Order: sequence, then structure tokens, then C-alpha cells
Amino acid sequence: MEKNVSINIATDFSKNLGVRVGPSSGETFFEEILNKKYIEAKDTNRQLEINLDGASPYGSSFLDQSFGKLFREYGKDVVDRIIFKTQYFNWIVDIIKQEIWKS
Amino acid sequence: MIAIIFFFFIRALYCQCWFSSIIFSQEILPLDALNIFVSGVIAVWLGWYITRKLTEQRFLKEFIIKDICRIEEQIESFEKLINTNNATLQSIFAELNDLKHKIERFDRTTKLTLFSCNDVNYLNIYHTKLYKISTEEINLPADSRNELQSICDDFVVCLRKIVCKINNM
Repeated sequence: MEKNVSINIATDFSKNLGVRVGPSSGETFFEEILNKKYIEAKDTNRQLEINLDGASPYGSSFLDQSFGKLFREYGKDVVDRIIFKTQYFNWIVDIIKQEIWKS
Repeated sequence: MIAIIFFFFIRALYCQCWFSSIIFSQEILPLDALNIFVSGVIAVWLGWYITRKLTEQRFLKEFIIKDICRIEEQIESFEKLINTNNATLQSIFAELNDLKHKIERFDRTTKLTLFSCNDVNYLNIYHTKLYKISTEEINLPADSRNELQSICDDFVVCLRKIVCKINNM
């Protein structure tokens, strides 16, 4: 079985996150990493693992402009394809699933 | 006062010879002795057991109420932060993260005890409201402070309702 596609936000993107737009923003994260990795996972029929630990702050605008935009572009498949890994931000995962994706 | 009234009542009954038919035997039968002993043991055990259970329950209530006080202190810390000019996204997020962990700890603790409370869901709702409004921008806009303060007020009142519920259980 092939390994899942993975993203570690702290090492692959930034430890200090921004807001909706601007440096280290949700928009930049979506354009440079999230969208590309998601398409890679989808094309190879794999899941996308996203590690949230090590980076902060996960503001509501960052989440909306990254994960929210992904959901608006690709729909329900996002919910089934993405696996979150975190020890410290389980509540952020809940916010993404219940508020951003409303699933 | 009650003792004095009771004394005069008994005295009145004695004068009316109400106690003349009562005969006290000086013989103690083995069965009477056993009866006294068993009654005494049961009374002592019941007294010990009930007192212990009440003490345990009181201790547990106070322990859980302390947890709620910690959550309230965390909200106060958040309120102080949003009323300063130094409220950045990073500092606000750190406060909200601490607050969330305290709420989760409280939720998991109450599930271990008899004091399980559905109002914890409201705590999560208030937390999410604070999160959505206060983490939109890098620096907290001044005009969102009033709304955040109002949510904090409702949050604290909800906590106090939980304290009353737990205290009355």
C-alpha cells in the first residue's frame, strides 16, 4: 500500500502563521502547498495527512482561506481524503470539520 | 426555650399520673442486652457511613467547582488581554488554546463522576464564538472588543449556572 501524501505545516510552510492574505497566510498556504498536495493525493488515490503541530496561530481567517477554500473548490471529497494529525490542536480539527467544512 | 417548655409539659403529664402505669424492671434479659448492642452497632455504622458519603460528595463537588473557577480565571485573563493594545493574534490564540484545554479537562473530569453536565456544550459554543471573532486579523480591531466582552459575560454566567447545578446535586 502506498504511503499517504503528507504535509507538515510547521516544516513545509511556516511555524508562524498569518491571516487570510499576506505573509504566511491561508491564501499562500493554499496556493503553494495545500492545493498541490491535495491534487497529488487525489490523482494517486491516496489520502492527505496534515500535521498541525509546531505551527501557530491557527486563526479563523487562515483556516477559512486554506481549508475552507479547498472545500469550496473540491467539495465533500476533501472531508474523506484529509486526515489530520495533532497532539495539541484537536480542537482546531473540530473547528475545521464543524465550522469551516460544516460536516 | 424549647427545652423549658418541654420540661413543663413532662411535669404536667407527671402530675396527671400519666407515668404511673410505667414500670421499670431492673432485670436485664440477654435478649435485651443483645438488642442494645446490635442497635448501637448499627447506629454507629450508619453514622460513620452516611457522614463519610456526605463528606466524599462535598469534596468532589468542591473539586469540580475549583475546575470551573480555573476556567473563569482563564476567561478573565482573556478579557484583560483584549482590553489592552497588545492583543495580537499570537497572544489571543495562546489564551484561547489554554481555555480550550481547561474546558476539555473539565468535561473529561465530570464524565468520571456523577456530576456530568450537558451545559459543557454551551462552553464549547462560547469558546468557538470568541475564537471566530478574535482570530480574524493580526491585530484585534477595537470595534470587536464590545462583542467579545459580551460573549465573555455570557460565558461566565453559563459557568456560574453550572456551579449552581452541581451544588444542588
